[in-house]
Amino acid sequence: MKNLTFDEYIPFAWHGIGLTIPSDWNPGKISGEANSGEVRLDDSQIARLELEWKEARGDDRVAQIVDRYIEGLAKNAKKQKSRLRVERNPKAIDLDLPTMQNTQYFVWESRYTVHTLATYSPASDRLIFIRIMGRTDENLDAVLPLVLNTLRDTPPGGPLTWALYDLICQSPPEYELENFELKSGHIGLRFQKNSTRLNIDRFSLARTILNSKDLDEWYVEFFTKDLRHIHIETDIQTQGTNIVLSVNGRPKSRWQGLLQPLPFWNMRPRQNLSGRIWTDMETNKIFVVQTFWKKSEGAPNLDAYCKDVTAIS
Amino acid sequence: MLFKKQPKIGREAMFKSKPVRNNQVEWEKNDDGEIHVTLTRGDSWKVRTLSKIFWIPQQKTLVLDEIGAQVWDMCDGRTTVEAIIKRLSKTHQLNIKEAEISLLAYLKKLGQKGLLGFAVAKTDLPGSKRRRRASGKAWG
Repeated sequence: MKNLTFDEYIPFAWHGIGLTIPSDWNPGKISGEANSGEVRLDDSQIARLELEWKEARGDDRVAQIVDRYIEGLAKNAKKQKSRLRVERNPKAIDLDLPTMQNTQYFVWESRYTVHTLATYSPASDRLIFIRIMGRTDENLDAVLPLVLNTLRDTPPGGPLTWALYDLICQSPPEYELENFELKSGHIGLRFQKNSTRLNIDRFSLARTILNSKDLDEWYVEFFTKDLRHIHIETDIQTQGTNIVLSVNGRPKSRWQGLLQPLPFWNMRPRQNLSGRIWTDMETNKIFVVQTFWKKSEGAPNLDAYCKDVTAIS
Repeated sequence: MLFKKQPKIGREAMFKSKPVRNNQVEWEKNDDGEIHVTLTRGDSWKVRTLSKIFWIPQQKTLVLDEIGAQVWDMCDGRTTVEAIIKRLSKTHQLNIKEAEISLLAYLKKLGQKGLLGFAVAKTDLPGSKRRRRASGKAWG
């Protein structure tokens, strides 16, 4: 048996559910929303962790769900004529999840050894399932408690922490994730509360990007589409090796809107912009936090939003 | 068979493969660290016929930027894809997954242009046992 150990663990958090995971495990698939969804974390060779959550609607009978799940596994194994070994609540690991209820832990072995945790989170009224996969010749005893015991959940409506790849940030209370972009070198999270939008972006390869362009030039070029109906004013400052760009924008005049094709059909949104763009040369990243808001009551506290946006180094 | 299908290899085999530059391709490095690769027009009957109808330049130059040039340098037939990913991730402080996705897309593009080939161990070629995912979504 090969003991699986990792030197470095990093936080992962999505829709209020957080875990600490080995730094080699990265999201390979993310789907769903706060009520129900799924995340798969892969290492360079196989899927390592699957996190699934769904709204419980007050039904916290986890044991019955696990019974049904094991029945399903047995049926599948019979169909495929493969062997299946299930061990329920083994005492190999010490689970310590005081904020969770009705926790069930079991291990099943087929082609892979799958360590499964099923639990109910009263904080958000969700059922949470975690599957950690290992090869049959791997011993995950050292990894399991370090990952499973870090499971935490946040009640909906409050500030939520989001952590993936090497970005960590927080969404303010009542903001919901509307959309996200996970491109190579660019992570973008789009939050919304009524008509106020908060966009958080993280770019890699800051040095390469800024090799041929200034930060303000790059920002205007990259976000052209978002800025096309906004007059912006920028202020650039240098803090050590890092550059900070503050952006304030107000909507362009209504008269200018008449010049665009079908002006009464394509009504453009009249939004103000407050944004901050900064570099972190130590981690070679560029962070962009932008809020688009309509009325002064909705004007966001940009400092508070930017405070929690960092890179996991 | 009219067309010979390229063998498809798995993820693990891809990681173990060693990209090799096409030694018939001309390339040079400039002072900025960029690499200029010269692509010469093919000489098959299809290209000859098409070139009578459309203008197809005899030569085309492809410029690989600083990072592209680093990757090109590592495509020496000795360095595995996995090692290139790790090196890029370390040099540019990229997350390993980020480096992997960008690199694989880039290598695929260079491969399609015929600038690179991949040395794959015989044991990793298709035909060997395929591994399946450990589990799927199965919660009721």
